Amino acid sequence: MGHPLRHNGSHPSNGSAGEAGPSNGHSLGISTVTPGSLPPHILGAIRPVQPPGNLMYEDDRDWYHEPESHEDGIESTDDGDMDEDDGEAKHNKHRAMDRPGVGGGKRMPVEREEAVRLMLQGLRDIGYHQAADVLEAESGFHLSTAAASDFQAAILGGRWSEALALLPELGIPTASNTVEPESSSSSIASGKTKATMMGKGSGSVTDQARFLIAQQKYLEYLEVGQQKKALGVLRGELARVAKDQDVLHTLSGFMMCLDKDDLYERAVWDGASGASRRQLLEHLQAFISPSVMVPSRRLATLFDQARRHQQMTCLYHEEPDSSSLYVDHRCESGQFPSVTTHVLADHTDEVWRIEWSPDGMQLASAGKDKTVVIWQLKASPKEGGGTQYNVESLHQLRDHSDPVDAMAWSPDGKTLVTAADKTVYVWNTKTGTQRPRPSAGSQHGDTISAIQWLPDGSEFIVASMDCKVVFYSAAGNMLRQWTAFPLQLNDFVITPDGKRIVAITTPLKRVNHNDRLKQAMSARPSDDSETIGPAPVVLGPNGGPMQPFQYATMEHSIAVIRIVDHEIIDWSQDLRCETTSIRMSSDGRKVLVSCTPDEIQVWSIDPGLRYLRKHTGHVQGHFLIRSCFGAPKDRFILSGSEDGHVYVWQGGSPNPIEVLSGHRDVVNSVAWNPVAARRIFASCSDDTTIRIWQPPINVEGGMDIATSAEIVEESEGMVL
Amino acid sequence: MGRAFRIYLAGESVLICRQCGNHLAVSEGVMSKQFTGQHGRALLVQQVVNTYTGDAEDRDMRTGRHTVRDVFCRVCHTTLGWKYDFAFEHDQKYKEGKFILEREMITEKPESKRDLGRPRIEEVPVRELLARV
Repeated sequence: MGHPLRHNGSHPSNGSAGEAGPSNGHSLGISTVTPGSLPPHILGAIRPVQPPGNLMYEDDRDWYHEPESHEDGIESTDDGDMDEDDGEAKHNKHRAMDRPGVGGGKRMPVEREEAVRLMLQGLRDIGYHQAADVLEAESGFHLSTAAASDFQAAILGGRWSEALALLPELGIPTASNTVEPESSSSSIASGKTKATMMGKGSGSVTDQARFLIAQQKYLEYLEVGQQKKALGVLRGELARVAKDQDVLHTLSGFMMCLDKDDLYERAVWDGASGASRRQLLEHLQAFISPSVMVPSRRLATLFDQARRHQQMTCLYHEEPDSSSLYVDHRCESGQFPSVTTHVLADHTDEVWRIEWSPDGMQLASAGKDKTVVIWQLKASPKEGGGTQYNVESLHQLRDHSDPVDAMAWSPDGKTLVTAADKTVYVWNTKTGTQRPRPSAGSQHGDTISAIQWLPDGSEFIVASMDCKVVFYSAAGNMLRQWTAFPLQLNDFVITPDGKRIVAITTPLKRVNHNDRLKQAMSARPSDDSETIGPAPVVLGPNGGPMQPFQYATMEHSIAVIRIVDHEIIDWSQDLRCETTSIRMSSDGRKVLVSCTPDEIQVWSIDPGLRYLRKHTGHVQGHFLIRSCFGAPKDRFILSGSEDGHVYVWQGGSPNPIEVLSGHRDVVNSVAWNPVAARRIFASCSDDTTIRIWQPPINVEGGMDIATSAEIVEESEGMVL
Repeated sequence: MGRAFRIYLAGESVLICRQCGNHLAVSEGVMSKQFTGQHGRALLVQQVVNTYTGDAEDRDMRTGRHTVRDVFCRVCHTTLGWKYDFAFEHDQKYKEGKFILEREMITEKPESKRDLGRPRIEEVPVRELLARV
């Protein structure tokens, strides 16, 4: 029965879209005076249709679990009606009809009136006023009541008395009947804080609405320089409804503004021709029932929410590009670097640590064989577009006295600082030669735990297990030294602004236990002969029972240290687990902390230290395992694991989305290439190899499988 | 094997390797100071850390026959003392599983002033550092 109307509605509206255009810019979303309206005689010819039921599908339940016994036969007539109704809405709602509800459940029915009114708003916002008129006529639903439309027009047109007169019709009573006690004063100086004020419920609804309107009126008078009239508003209207003297005081202060721009700035308000009237309308919306006046841009908001939700739940999401609403957004897993393209086997013993140079074209690897290898990434264009990277060994830095576990690239990539036990080495990465070490003798009385450069490249900072933090110039001269005793810095990072150190720390002190100070230790559970833990009660030399001897575990926490005055400005509670590594996110707002046993924690550091979430699934019990963020936008979290796999997590999900196999022994560290678009990461292992991971070749470049197999073979051959 | 951290201890005082400063035991774990080793006075302690042991052998000692293993510092590999695996004499059984640390090979590091508040970081004057070099 809807057929003739649909023709009527959709086709002519195309022609008049341009006509409706100009009105858009001014009052998108709430224009009710519609230039593109159909003549009354055409509208009159439209038959109102009132099919029963809401926007829902009785057979939805088939899509996910056993259909409940339901009288399908009876409902099916309804179904037919629904389909016709949807025909009109296809333009906007197509996506939602393609699939079962989010999460595999049944779609919730949408009330007919809501669906129609949202569509009406969408149509009007997009400029199809004729179609909207037809829909209003056919459905009998209106986007807003006549009063609401007039009210919107009055606010947008600056006709304040008309707007005030319409308030009762919008459900806001004329007189304030409830006078609440005065709310705590707050300095409300700007349009921005209007919303806060409303939230506080100072005064009755009427007073608040009237206040908002009067405030706009007052500011507009000031804007055009009519101080007298503005004063009249202030005394006559604002004073009556404002519940807060401070607000009035602030508002009256705007009288003193030198000119318009001064007023805009001080009132944080953009004038009558700006967005302020629209904002006022949005603030007033809070007092008006949505059944009277649909909140503006509601349909667009819902679409946006849908899009965001899909991106949030997209497992491999990388780009925030505009996704189509026709289909659910989903990034292909094929783009994830899940394939080993190179196995680098120059090391002769366990590889403990890998670090990319800042430009991501070189990789340094270090380990138990006392050697650091610098690898060069070589980009080669691929058949069928894209880039394939090859890896070659560039330098072997050999003169280390002990196994190497800490190293850091200078921000310009020209220098690599490494540390073996208590000694710092500074290397020229271009020549692979060691720079002379001016500081004779080591400043460090114990193993060096971590090295980091200041972001400006002027200094590097070295922390050692004897609770020392030493600052060196880029050339390697000692500049300053801190003693943090009893605080041991196990690992640390520096914020991108170069002002703070975020460290995982262990205070070397006895712990309180049952009101007794107890001897304590900080350690990873060890797999050799040391016996740690409760000892059996044995007889002492005198024959009496001896106290069982047991160590308590020391506290482990995150500390934020301001570099300029070495003050600890933030401090987490005891993490109740051993911490092994810390990494900073690329935006400098989050840190990733690897913990024993089997846990990775994410903390935000701005504005204060705050625990966000944890990720589990990997194995970390005995060794120093490192994790990293994976770009872009740090959506991925990767970690090594003692079971020889690389674990990958995404977003807020605690469980891994990928477990990548290849290494034959403990994976000690992972590192994502700093150039996010390259989609490369590296992992290193006790099996003495480093693996380079890239997206599957045949998927990315459209190569056939034979070619890609060849390349893998080639690359393996190169290094072995 | 991966990278394992050394163990750090805190107690009334920490017994450390004289050679390299490696943490070995805490004074709370000392059972007796009346022992004698190859280099004079020795301590019997309940537990040691950051060490490894050699092969078991039977030794005749003043208190009888024992099966023992030498104990080495894991960092500098110095011989620090031994571990009792087995005591042949019944009244010496309490030593089983315990360790001897020779006074000569270790030093005692007293606990620093206890400050239960937030730790403070202090800057060491550079002049002092340079004088030390």
